[in-house]
Amino acid sequence: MTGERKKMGIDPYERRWMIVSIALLVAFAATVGIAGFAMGFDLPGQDERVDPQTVATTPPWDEPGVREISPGVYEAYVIAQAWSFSPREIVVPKGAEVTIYVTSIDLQHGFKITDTNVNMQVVPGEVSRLRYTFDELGEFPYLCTEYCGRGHAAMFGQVRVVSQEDYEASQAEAAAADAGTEEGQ
Amino acid sequence: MNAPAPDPAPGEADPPAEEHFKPSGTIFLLTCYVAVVILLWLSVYLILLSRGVTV
Amino acid sequence: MTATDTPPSAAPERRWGNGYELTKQEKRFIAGHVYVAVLALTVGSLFGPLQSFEYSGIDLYGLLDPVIKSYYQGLSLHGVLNALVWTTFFIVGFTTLAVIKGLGRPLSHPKLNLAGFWVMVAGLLMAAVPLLTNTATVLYTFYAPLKANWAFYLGLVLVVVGSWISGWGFMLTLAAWRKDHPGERSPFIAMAGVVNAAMWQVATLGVAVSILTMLLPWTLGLTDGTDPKLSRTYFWFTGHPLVYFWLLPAYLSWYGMLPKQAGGKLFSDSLARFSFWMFFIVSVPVGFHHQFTDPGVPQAWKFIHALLTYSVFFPSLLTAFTVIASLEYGARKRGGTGLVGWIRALPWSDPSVTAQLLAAILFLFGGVSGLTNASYNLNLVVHNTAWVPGHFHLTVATAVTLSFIGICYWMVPYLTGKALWRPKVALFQAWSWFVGMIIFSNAMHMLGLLGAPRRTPLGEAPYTPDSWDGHLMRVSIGGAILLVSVLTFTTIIWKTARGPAVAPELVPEVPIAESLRDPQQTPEWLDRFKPWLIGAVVLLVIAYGPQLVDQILHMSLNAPGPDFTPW
Repeated sequence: MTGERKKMGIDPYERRWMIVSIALLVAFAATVGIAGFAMGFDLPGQDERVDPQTVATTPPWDEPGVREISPGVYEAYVIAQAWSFSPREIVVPKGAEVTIYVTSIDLQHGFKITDTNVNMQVVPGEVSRLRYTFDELGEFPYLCTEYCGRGHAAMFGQVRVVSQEDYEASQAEAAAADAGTEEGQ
Repeated sequence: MNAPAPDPAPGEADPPAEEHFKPSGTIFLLTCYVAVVILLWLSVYLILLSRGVTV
Repeated sequence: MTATDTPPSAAPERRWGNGYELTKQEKRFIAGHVYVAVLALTVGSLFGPLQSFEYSGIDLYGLLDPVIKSYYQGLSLHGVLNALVWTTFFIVGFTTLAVIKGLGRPLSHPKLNLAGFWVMVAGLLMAAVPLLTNTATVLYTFYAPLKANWAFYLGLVLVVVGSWISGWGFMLTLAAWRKDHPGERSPFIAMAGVVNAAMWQVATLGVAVSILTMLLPWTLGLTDGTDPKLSRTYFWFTGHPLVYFWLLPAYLSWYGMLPKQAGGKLFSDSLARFSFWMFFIVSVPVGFHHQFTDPGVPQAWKFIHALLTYSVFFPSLLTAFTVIASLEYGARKRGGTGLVGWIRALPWSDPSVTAQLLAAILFLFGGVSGLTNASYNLNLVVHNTAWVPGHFHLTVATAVTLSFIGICYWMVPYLTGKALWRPKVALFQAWSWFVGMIIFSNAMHMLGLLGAPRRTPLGEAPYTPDSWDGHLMRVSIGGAILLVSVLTFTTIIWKTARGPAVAPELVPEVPIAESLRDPQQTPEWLDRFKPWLIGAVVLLVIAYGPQLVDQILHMSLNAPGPDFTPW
């Protein structure tokens, strides 16, 4: 090793710089690795594949939106198409843990919820999935972050995080409205 | 501190002097650079941590 | 030492064939590449500022209506002309010069290189038609199922194939030189140019396969749809090494030419070559770091590519040391003193040097944002935000472009036998690029951290909050400064090329830096292609093989895109 170094004529200071460089990169790799695999700051991975031409009529994608699957645990199905998301709004109570599934029926899109780490490429034929817990009250717009044609800049929706009481009130209201429309028919 | 300064004559005559050129300015600049890299990188890392987990 | 077979007195003659003077035809041939490149940069750069003005609500695209239909058509032209055409034509021309001058001999197969040039021009013209008629408004990444006119894809293929043909010409010329010079280290600038051309041949396979097997058949109506995920994987197989294809010629100049211009020598010939070989083997198997947020790619592969991307950062850190040390050596020779005071002793009055130094300074910061992009989960913060164009305007649009501009400031006079038109104006040009890009790029990075999407007319977007206004305004100001800068550059090149011929002693020489140590002492394994080629293929198979096989086996061409033209 030393012989080879001599042959290469590596300056001693440059050699130290090489060591510092490697140490820096190893430290960064360890930091992101720990955050990713031990602390839960992870990326989307492999999920199911779908047929972009039929997915919008296939359960559960035929009724995009958010639903509670167990107390405090939610799942949201979002369909992206040029140039809107459906649903346009996702309302959850503070503290809700939401698994978000997104797919596209036409072009590639992006799905990024402002001020959160939810950021996914949306690719026709694939399901993008991330789970996120909404601990702050407020409105969090989700924007299309991939060019998808002339309406791209207007393609967005929002997550509205409300208090538990407001959430329950709005659920009751919605249920009443549903019942109302059913009676009217 | 800076060794190679005294001979303004054509340097090709004495390669040994050139071999021992100590790049002190380079070392200083790159030390600062490493600090900048760590600082800027960490600032984004802290943003990541502040925005919550995505399991 | 293995060098004993050549007598020490032979060393001065070995000094990189400086004795060979290019013929008029060779100079004209290289200049042809440069002029196409400068034309592309000029036209492409006219659109950049229009995008930046839109950010603060000044949409000038309406005025261009009959010719250019939209922000996105302008953005497509900006990306294709600047990132693909300006770079590729300049690189092929500049590498031709580095090979001929480095080896001190004419091209072994000049007709091959001539064919390469014309195939590239044919491809450019073919792709230009749909771009200009708004039938290829798909941006330079042409993500399927955005569907451009078939001529766009075929044109891109021809540009790539033309650059391959030129690359074969470079390789054959180096092989001929080696045959005549057994046991000698090949001259650094020629070797560096050929390494880049060879890396490019491997790297472009991804996009070639994507277009020929998926996109062309689809746009010609032979198949009904595409597999968008697979097309992304193919694209980024090429897309990331593409940035090293841009960058390595700038490194060639920083290592092999700039030290000479600054009155110094190359600090380490061995490590310069080592860096290039590292780029050769790790440039390609890193593409998944562009797909960190993609569905359908397992996290483990993303993490492996993150680590490999870190390993490409290593030769860049080495480059930083070697290049700065080479410059410090030159500056101290010129009388510079002090820990940082020597920087003032660099020839800042030379626009070619200044442009390249400023390019390198901003590249240090581009490196930081690039490292952030590559850092696995940190990508969640910045993916597809304005941060990303902020980043690559420091790298390709400054480290690369401003370096190429600096190279033009000696190369165009050299090729034409003219004097550089108004060097003071050229100095202004370099500094204005530097300042404009700092303002522009910093604002873009900030916008990205706030969550602003890239590739989006934020002036028009309904969700843009008022709190972004300051940054949006700075993007526009930066763009305006850059518009002045690029037009100044074009004027300088135009005036130089059309100026009167000057006495030969007033025409700049090709600056070729000597090494502090005789390159003949560099170990032989740093001057051989075979081990590195094997290494590159093995690494490629490990890093890409399983995912490529999996994605191809599960390919389904079921994404036809929308049934209307989306732009």
